[in-house]
Amino acid sequence: MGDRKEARDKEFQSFVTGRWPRLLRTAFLLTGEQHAAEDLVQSTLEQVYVAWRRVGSADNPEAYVRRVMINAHARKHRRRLREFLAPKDDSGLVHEVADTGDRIAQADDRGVLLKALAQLPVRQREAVVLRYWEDLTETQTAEAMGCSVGSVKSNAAKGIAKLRAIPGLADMVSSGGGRK
Amino acid sequence: MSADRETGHEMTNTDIALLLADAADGVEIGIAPTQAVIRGGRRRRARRWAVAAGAALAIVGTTGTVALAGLPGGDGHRVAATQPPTTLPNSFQAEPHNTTLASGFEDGKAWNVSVDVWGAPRNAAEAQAQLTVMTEYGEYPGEISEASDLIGKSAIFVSKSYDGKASMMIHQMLSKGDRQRGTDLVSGASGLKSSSEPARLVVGRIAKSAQQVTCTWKDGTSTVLHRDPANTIVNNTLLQGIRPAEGSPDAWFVCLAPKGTSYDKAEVTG
Repeated sequence: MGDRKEARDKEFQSFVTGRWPRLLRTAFLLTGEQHAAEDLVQSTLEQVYVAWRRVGSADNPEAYVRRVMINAHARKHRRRLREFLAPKDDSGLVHEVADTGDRIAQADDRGVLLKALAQLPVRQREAVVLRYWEDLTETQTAEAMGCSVGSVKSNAAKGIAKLRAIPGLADMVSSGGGRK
Repeated sequence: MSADRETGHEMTNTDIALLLADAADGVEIGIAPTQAVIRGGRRRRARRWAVAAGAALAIVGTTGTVALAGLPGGDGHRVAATQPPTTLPNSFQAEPHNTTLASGFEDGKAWNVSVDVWGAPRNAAEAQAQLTVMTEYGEYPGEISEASDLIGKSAIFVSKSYDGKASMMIHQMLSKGDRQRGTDLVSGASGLKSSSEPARLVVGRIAKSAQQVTCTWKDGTSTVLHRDPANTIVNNTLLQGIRPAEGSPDAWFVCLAPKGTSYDKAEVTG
């Protein structure tokens, strides 16, 4: 019994270590802030740990994790808890030292996108992030969001349209998807 | 894809995907906090178990096992009770002091507000014992990562109940000497029935010397509260007023806005 539990914990640790970067990036796009993203991922993984006995042996544990994370994110909004949707200043956004003009420009681009994302209603933001960052199919996105495929299509299309309508972002995209 | 275009820019969803990928790179990827996650997961499991078991199971100070089959969150196997009995000095109370701060009826349903005050553990054994009981109560301080973080700090949990449904309103950890003075006031407001309603229910912590609190509502009206150490009950309702709470260094008040308006501010006015 003890050995099985220890083995499950090790398996879970390995899962967390492997998925942490990707989950954190997704959470960052959803929340727009480093600490909020870390909190979201940590809280998600804690919930996953509770159900790991079942989840770890499932075919697709990632799908479960995404569902938990999206639920946690949506719940946070429903309750109107404190969330840093958009950084209040650049210091909360960019942690690397901007020692060249390119880096500064790149950081600015990120800021524009994060602010644009923050302006989207939560379901549109989730649909855009899952479809175009996580690269999920509409069906997978619907599963993660707990809604219909039609709702995913609608939310993603509206979200993309709103992003395109934001002048700063439109300029970035028209110049080639960032200033790398 | 072209149907998605709403501006004259030549943009594709691939471009958006690239921008998202670039923005996602802006997050700092540190080392995955696996141990913290596992600790948090264990706490959640314990809390879930305690909440699910409710009053039917006494888990503190017991040994042996308790069956989880059939309980929400249980996975059907047997787990050991959270902690073995702990020997503690008689002077330490691991359980909270509970005080009802106000009660009443609205739309024929009973409501009340109460505060649990947890004393400050002095050492690791007391902290561990208290944490075990906190878990049983479902009052786990989110900011601690291990039992020893409780040492020297008291914790307060204010909860409201409407029609038998309870929810947490305020949680704070207090260090020794952390008390309200003069006209200091810390308050929180919430809907009476649910958090999505206008914030009408106000709970606050003030100095024990405060004699009067004025709650002002958004429609310009106000409610003035006075000290009620006698805990006056009228028609099965505990009068809204200022009263002490056992174990707390401060006095407390609760006021409820009339229907149709909501909380604007609260001040010590006397």
